[in-house]
Amino acid sequence: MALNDRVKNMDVIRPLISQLHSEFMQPRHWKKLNGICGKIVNRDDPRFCLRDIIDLELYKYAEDVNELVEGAQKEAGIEKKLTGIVDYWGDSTVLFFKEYKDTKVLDTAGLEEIVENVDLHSMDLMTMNASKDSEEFKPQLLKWQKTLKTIDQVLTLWVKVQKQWTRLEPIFLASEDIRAQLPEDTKRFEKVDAEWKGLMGDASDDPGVVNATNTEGRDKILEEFIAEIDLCEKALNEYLEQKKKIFPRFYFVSNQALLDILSNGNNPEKVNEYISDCFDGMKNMKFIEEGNRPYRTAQGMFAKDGEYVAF
Amino acid sequence: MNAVENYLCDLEKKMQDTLKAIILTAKDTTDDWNVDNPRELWLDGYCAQLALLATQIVWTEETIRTFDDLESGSESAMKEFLQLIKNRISKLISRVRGQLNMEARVKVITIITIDVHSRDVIKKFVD
Repeated sequence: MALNDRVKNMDVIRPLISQLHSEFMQPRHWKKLNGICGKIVNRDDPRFCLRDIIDLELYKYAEDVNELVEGAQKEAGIEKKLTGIVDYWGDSTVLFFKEYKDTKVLDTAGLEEIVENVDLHSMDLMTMNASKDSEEFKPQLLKWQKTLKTIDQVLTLWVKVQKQWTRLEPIFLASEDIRAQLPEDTKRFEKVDAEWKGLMGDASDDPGVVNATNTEGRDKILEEFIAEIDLCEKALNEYLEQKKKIFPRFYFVSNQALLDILSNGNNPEKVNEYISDCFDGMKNMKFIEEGNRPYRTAQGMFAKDGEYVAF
Repeated sequence: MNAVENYLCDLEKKMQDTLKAIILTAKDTTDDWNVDNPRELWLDGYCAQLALLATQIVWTEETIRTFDDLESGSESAMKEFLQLIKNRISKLISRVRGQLNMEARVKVITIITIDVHSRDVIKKFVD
């Protein structure tokens, strides 16, 4: 080969060698290089030397080498990001619980950050998955995409169950009136209540977000809770609807207030507190104050501005 | 004890019956305005809404009667009626100027307001 050409080739090779020095060149990239050049070079061989590189005749494959090194760099970026995500979802990211009556419930204030990161990381994973340099990490990327999706789904269900449960728990467990009127649904609710408390116990013992949400079947059981509680709520609403049909002014008060009225039905003084919600312009009733409390017989009514009308 | 939704229905009925009984008495006793219980004192015996309602019923009846009188030839009937309304308003105003508790004051002022509307209507008829 003419000297001139050899010098020219060397000019091309030098920067390529310096590129191959890149810290991002992993053994798998060297293997690829062998493929590109159709020659075997072993970088880890103690006798590996400049001669071996020159023999690869890199000037023929300048573009391929560029691409290889660039790819390696991008791969390293992806790997770093992925490791960051995997680290975040390690044991240190946990669900927070707080005491509620005799059980534990999710502390939803702590959920915000988790949900935010689920969204953020899912986006990151999607971007990485779409990159052509992610081939090496496909299985891991897919696995984490699935894990994060499950976290998102299960947490959504979980919060929903918690809301429903907190709303109905004081009714079905504490309101004697409802327990007597809806015995079947009370039983149904008690069953969910026991299982829910069990689940909260298990989860707070192992509060890592990934474990708590990806436990086999957790989404199924939460969905079951929702279905069961929905049935309880429907029965309750039907019951309240009956009462409203009889005394339509009950439509003016909230369900919570109506439950309070119903469970204090035999205490007219207590019901008196809600009179103003049922009758516009009314403040309350005046009772005949004799015999044992609560007084039961009204003798007149007060308007909101204080005017009194006797019956 | 009866269920709460039932006794509340009874209560509602009782309220309606009570108010109906009161408005009937209030209307009946308006006959005494010209005897021993003038309007400006009569209204103390009834709650504001019903006192107002009774005065409105009376005004409507009086207006109809005045038209009848006009038709049967009494040309000054409407003018006399207007004067009657003005006198009634003056009497109410003198009550507002005296000592009144808040509740009665609101009641009298409301009736004055409605009376002034009635006066304006009659004044249009006169003009």
